[in-house]
Amino acid sequence: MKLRDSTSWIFKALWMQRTRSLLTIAGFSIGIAAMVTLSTLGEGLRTFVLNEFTQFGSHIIALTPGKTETFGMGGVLNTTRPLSLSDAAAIGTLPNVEAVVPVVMGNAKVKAGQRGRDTEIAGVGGAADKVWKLELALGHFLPVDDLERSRALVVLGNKLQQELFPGLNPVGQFVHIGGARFRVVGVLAEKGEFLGINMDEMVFIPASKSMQLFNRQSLMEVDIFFNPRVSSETMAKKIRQFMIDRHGFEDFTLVTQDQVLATMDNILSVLTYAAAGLGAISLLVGGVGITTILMITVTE
Amino acid sequence: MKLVDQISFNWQIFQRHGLRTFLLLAAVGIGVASVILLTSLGEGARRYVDREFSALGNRVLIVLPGRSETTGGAPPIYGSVPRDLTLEDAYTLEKIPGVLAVAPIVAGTTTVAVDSRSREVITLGSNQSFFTVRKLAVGAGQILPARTREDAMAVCVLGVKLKRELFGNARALGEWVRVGDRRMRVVGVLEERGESLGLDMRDILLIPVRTAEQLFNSPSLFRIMLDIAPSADSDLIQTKIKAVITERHEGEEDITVISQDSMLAAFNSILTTLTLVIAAIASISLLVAGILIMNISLISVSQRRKEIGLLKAIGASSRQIRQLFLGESLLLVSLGSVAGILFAYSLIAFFSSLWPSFPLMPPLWAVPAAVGVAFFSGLTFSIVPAKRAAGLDPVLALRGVQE
Amino acid sequence: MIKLISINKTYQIGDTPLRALRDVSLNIDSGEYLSVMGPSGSGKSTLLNMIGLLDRPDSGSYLFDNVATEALKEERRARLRGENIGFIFQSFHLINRLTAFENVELPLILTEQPIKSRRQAVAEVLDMVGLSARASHKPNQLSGGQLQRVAIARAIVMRPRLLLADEPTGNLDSASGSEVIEVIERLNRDGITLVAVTHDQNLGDRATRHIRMVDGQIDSDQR
Repeated sequence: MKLRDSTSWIFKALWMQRTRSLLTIAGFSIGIAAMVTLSTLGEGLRTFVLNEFTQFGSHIIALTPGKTETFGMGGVLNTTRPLSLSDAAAIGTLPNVEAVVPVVMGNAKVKAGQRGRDTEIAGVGGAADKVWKLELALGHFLPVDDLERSRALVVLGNKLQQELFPGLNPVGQFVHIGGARFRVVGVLAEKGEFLGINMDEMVFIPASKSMQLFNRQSLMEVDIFFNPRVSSETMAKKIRQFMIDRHGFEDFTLVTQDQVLATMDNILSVLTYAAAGLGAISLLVGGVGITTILMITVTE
Repeated sequence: MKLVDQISFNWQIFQRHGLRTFLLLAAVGIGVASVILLTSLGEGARRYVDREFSALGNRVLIVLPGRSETTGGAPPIYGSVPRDLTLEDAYTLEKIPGVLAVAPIVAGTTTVAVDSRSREVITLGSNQSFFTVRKLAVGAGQILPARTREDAMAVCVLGVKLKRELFGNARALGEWVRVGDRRMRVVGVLEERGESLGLDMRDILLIPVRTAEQLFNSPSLFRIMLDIAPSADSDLIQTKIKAVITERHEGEEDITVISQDSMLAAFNSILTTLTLVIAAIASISLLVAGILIMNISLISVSQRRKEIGLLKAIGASSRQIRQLFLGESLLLVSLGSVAGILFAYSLIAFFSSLWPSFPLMPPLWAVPAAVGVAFFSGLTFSIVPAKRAAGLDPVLALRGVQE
Repeated sequence: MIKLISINKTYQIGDTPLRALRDVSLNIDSGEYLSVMGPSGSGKSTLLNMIGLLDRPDSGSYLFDNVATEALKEERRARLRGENIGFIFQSFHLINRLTAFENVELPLILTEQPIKSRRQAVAEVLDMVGLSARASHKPNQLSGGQLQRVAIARAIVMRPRLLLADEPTGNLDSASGSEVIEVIERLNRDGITLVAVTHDQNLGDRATRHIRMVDGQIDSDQR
């Protein structure tokens, strides 16, 4: 039978049994719709999360103290193999390294006059605004100076500024964090959440001050931003060798952004498949429907 | 028409159309089974978490250094604060009535080595109470001695995996291990137990809390875990803990207290919501099955026109005809549901035997909900065919004329 | 027992209306034996369906036991039909998946009779039509004459007072046909009112009252 003839034959047959055809199509299309919608949702989530991760570019390597992978807690816990500010500074001098941001996080009360607020303190380097694409509403960010001898300066998150200095310009004013005095040099523009962390309520101070404040011997993490023309593997290899030379052996962990993305992508893909599979059940039932109708049609 | 007679009448129709009936049963069965199976995954996860928590004992409070007032209210996970939470702070909490045990925890990572074999592991500094609070026991040797409460003894307890990695099958008890720059004697090996709240208890090193302070050169506690009496008022104790620490910290409330109940409740509500969503999505398949039933019923009505005409001729009313067709769908849905439930439970039994540690089990509402949706869908989609059957003109129907 | 007064019935077939019954009036007394004959399309089947309460008149009145049936609700008509009227069809209309016994049992099931009396009643009527031995056979295991006798058994199992037969011998050879005629006439002798629509002159002649229809009207009515 020619294609055109068989097509018209099929259409005629379907039209003769239009209620039957319509219902079969309805059942099947609900199944398809369920599957498509769910897998789209999964895919959407995947894209969203990956975008969040790549917004700072993908040429980042995170260096944490300790050799074990401990759910990203490696840097947070105490360690007998600390990562120092001079380590971070030294890495900054390597060729192709564009910026180095040491990180020490903690919680403390920030006070300005009578107002106070318990919030998250991020001890970072002066390059943090550039690499994390932080925009300033007032003043400027922490200066890029000697990591180990930083001045007591602070940049406030947007919301925190409104809470501590409502309606006032805080630049040049002083705040107290854990008994120490910090001069406000800038206020961040509104940023919103990044992976569940509210940047608007954070406080940024120099990493060395953060280590003093929290009495930590080690940085929690060093984020290394490098020349995009160099591959992650090459860069990671260089840094690894450099650090082994400095510390005597490998007592740190390097994670490239590529690895993080690959892991994330894996997890989210599985999630997407699971969602699609959930929708596929309806499709399966719709398929059983088609089989049934075909059986009946054949019998007739 | 009596129920028994109606069922046997419908049953004879099913027997006549064996394959068709089988496929319809499969459709309903798949729907019901998938609702039950998928919700039992969600419920299983919930029970798993529940069990993990209750393995800790159900009355545990956790004190974290630091406080965060930021929106979203994530607890301060970093453990780094300007004013340390100290061992003295922890032991003061023992005086609060209703507090049974206080386990201070210093946490860090360090290198453990025996001869040339070395491993980097999570190291927890604590005392005997840690074993009480986390319901831990040793498989060999003993737990940390009572003196470790205050003394920086050079002793340690190994997780089973760590013991195997360092000593293989050789005896570890009484041997010396290098921990960072110190030497410590192994006094015990933990019993074999898997993960507990995300911490692999087989791969950790337990040392006295004072030893850990020296090792990490920091007086700061990472956490304090407290066991409280079953009859104690958890909220009251939490308030008292905050008051005691605030007083010791010169009027600054710089800690966060989390009760295990509230963590459990948070997990519970997340997982329950997830389970409900999954159930709703799986129910779409029952909607599809309903449409299928409608389709087949319509076909059945047109194929059985003569029979319907005859039934009317021998005195069946429209209502009876309608009932007959609705009954057919109901019976189909009932049998399909039973098949689905049996299928789901046998799969659950199968998977449970594969992974006995995961408590796979549907929530109480799953079976009624699945069957309820199946019946609702089946009935709704049978109304049109049943009406069509009931409305047939007996004269034309008897002649087999298509209207 | 039956009183038709000026019954009219028109069917719409395609664009052209077909007047199946025109001003038909007819009285039938209890215990009568009528044959209705006439050419195809003369309205005799419509008349039978009208008497059997399967059809409603467009105009006119039908009194069954002095009850005006055209005004009754469908439920009530179905009950009246089930309890008082038995049908026999040319093509038997037995349900293939059911045994002879179960086919005969159907009317009793519809009216929710207790199982015990049901079995007894079915056994009795099957005996009456001489098919006790074939009770558990399905329709495809029975001959034409046997099928029609099962249908008769089903028609009379409710002890109706009126038996309507639409070409009861139309699909049967003459031997089987006479068997069937013999059975229904015996029922008539026992008091049942019998109305048979037929082309079969032989059957038509045996009735005690002969009605002939032409173009939807009663052409002759002879006793």
